[in-house]
Amino acid sequence: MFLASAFLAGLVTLVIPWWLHRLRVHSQDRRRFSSLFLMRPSEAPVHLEKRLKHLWLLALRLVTLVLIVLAFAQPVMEMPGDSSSSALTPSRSAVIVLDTSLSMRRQEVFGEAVDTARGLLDGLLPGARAALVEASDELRVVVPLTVDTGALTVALGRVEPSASRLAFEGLVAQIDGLTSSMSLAGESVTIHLISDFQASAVPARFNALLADAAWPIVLHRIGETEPNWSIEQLRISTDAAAADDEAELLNVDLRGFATPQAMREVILESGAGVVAQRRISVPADGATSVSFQIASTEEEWTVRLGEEDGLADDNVRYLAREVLAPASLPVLSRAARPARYFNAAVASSSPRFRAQRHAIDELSLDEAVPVVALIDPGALPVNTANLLERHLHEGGAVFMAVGPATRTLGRLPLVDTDITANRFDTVNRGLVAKDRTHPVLSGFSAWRGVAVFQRVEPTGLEGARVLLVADDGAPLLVEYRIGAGRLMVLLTALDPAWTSWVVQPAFVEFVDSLLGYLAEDVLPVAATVGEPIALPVLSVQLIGPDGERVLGLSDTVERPTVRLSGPGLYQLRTPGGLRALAVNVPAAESDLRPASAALLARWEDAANSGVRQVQELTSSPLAAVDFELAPWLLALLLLLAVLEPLTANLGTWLGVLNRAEP
Amino acid sequence: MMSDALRDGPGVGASRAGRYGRLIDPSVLAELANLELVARTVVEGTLLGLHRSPGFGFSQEFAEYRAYEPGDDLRHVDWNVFARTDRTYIKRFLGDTNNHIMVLLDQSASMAVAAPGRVQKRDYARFLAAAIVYLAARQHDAVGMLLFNDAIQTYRPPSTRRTRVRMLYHLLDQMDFSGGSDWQAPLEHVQSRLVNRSLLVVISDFYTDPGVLGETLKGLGARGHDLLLVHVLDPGERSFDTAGAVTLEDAETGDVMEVSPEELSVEYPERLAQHVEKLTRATLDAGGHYLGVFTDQPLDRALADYLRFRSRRL
Repeated sequence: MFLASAFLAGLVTLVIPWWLHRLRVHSQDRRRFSSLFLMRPSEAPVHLEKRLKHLWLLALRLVTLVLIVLAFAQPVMEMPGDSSSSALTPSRSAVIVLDTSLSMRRQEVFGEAVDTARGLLDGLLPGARAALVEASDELRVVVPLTVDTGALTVALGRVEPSASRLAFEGLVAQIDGLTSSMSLAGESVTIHLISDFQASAVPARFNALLADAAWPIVLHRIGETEPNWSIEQLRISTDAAAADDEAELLNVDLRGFATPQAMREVILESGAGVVAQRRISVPADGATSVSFQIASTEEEWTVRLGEEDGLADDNVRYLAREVLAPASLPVLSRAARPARYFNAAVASSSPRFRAQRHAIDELSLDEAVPVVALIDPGALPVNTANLLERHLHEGGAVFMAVGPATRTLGRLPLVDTDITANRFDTVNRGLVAKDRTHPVLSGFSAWRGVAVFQRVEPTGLEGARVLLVADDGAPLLVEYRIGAGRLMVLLTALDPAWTSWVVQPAFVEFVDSLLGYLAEDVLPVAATVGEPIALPVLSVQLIGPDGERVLGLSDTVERPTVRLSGPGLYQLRTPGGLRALAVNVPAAESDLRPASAALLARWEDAANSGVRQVQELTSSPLAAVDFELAPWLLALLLLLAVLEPLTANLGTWLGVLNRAEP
Repeated sequence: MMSDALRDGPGVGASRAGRYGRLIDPSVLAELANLELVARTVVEGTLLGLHRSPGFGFSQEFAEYRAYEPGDDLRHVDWNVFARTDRTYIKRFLGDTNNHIMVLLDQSASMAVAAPGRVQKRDYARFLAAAIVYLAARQHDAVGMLLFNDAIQTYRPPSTRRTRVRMLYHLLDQMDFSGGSDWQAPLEHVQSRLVNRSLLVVISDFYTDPGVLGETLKGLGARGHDLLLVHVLDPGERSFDTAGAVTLEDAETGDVMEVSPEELSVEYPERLAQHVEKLTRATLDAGGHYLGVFTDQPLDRALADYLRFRSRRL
């Protein structure tokens, strides 16, 4: 039997009736006396008598108090887990949380986990409900709470381990949050967490395991420690020893976890196949590194370990890089002065681009040009306009800054929107970012000193995304999506008479971010399975290692944040071309050593002591079923609550309780 | 100081209580008749016969001559002696004198209180009064009775007539104990009505102020009356058997008072002792005697004490 010791302290309340039954406000011992002539009244209003009064009533009240204390102490009686006793046990729902992280991909381990989950389902009491939840980089409800164990078993057979990471910090709170979304209908829930409980997944702060725990948790540990080697990291460095200045080295960091000293074969592959392979000695439970000389033009590599070990998925690691070739940046400008400000900024910030000023009608797009700059274009010649529109529809990008000529025209080229001039005669306007997550505004915090004196304002902003406004709310930088391309319009001139921006360092930073965004240089080249990555570019397609499209154009309209489920070399297809994305498994999953049994026991005890009493869901022969006595104690209390006044009144009526002293 | 009788613990003679089953028990009276009652009647009685009076009277038995002094009654001059000797002598005789006994009995409600199984104070008082009446009648003393509570209920002046004695028995038998007790009226009544020196036997539980009572008694003593205060108490009024507080109801007034055990076990007995001591002193100051009795004491013992006090007085 278990009793909550804190509540047992309530037994001291037994003193209260014992004391009260000795108290007498007015003496019940009434006698007829000859005369009170020599008597003096008692000064004490309350008398504490030596003898207890109304013993039957006292006993009844003491029993009532004891029952109350015991009921609050929530005693449970361990009963054999047979069917007869389980019928008396209130049903408790179970949420089976199955670890599907990368470390569970080991041979036999995941099968053992599934078998454990199946055992829990088989042991469900009649009427009890259960849910199946996958836990890796995020929680996913496979089957919500149901009494249909068949559906749960079938779903369990379909669950596969992922290649992502599971960390236990905050996991309990996430599970409780998940259960709150389930229709519990007043049921109590037991969380069954089935995992290999990697030590690397346990947070340094123990309390992080218990945050917001609302339900009892039962930990089911699966698997044993296995030696595992992994490729921890790939790095590219310059080969200082090589004669060729452009020779580079690919450094491969190897690490063994619970491993003996061993020779491992490291194989380097590129798109052309195996490039090199080398055997190196990895110290016991330690790390080493090996380098390969690589060509500077190569963009994708795969490094593998030749031997199998406990976890195969971390024996492969991918690396991608973008080799950015110098690109031409045509700058079409009617006036020389604004173009000079822009070209100077490009030269200072983006050495990849070679800015070349052209007259408005001198545009030629014979070579691949990612970005075209239009500086105060005014009225565009038809030929130039056609070329730019085609450039945009094919996925190209255009930056356009207005100016006196455009103001005079009264219309924005390419978007065919009327504009009105606006001059701030007395007040200089600052800048306010509308979307600070936009890559172009990454340096906005340093733009505080920028002032705008003149601007133009479009009469309509249909299809435009306003990124930057003046502090009076008027748009200053807007982005249009035209075809597959993007048009960024600055609604002030690159002229100190219009804005102080062009003569400040902030303009250089702005141009750098602007060209990087428009040329799609901000796309990631590396990611980890299960971790979110941002695609800060419009109109991107993500192609998986197997050639299947993971994200379509429509999926990336809002520059989404995505999680990739498998490792490999992905392709990011943009209007400007293809970019490689190396996605690797989380390195922390490679350490297969489990947390200590003592830690898990502490976790379980601490989680369960703070929440409701653990009642095992299962009624397997080995498991005992706790029979809660509190409901029966409360029923007995109800009976005593009726008996107590009856006894008191009956005793008074019979003269038993107020019997006069002889 | 509490009297010897009141110092006796409760239950003294309680085994004899059963023998007082009848108002006038001849065996009790026979026992009382053998005590020193004679000595008392010799000194104070006016009835000639069984007992000699200590004072000279004017009966037929000659005692002596003495010289005439101015103011003597000329009817007592022996003229024969004057004729023979030419001197005037007064004849003196030994005369039997009658004692006048007045029994004052308190019939207030407080006299009707007693613990279960014990003789009530009212019965004890009635036994005692009847015994005194019987003794007086046997010795031809004039006996009267005054019954009172908060007013005078019955007054019968002293008389030697047998019918009067039977009437007194009847009065004692028919007494109704109720009301309070007022001492002023009965004592003043007795003082104004009794001409002869009398023995006043006052039987009560005396729940009154001893000082006030003493002043009234002094007036009676000054008139030559002999006083005997018989203080009748129930043993339950001396000590209480209780572990806790007790709510007491005054038998006379109906007032209720809650009394602590400390009061009952310590302070009340001390206060009772002081009360008895004051009563004794007030009685002695008035020239009388105080006799305290508990209802568990034998009645003959109380009468013996009474006679002993009387003899000591003589």
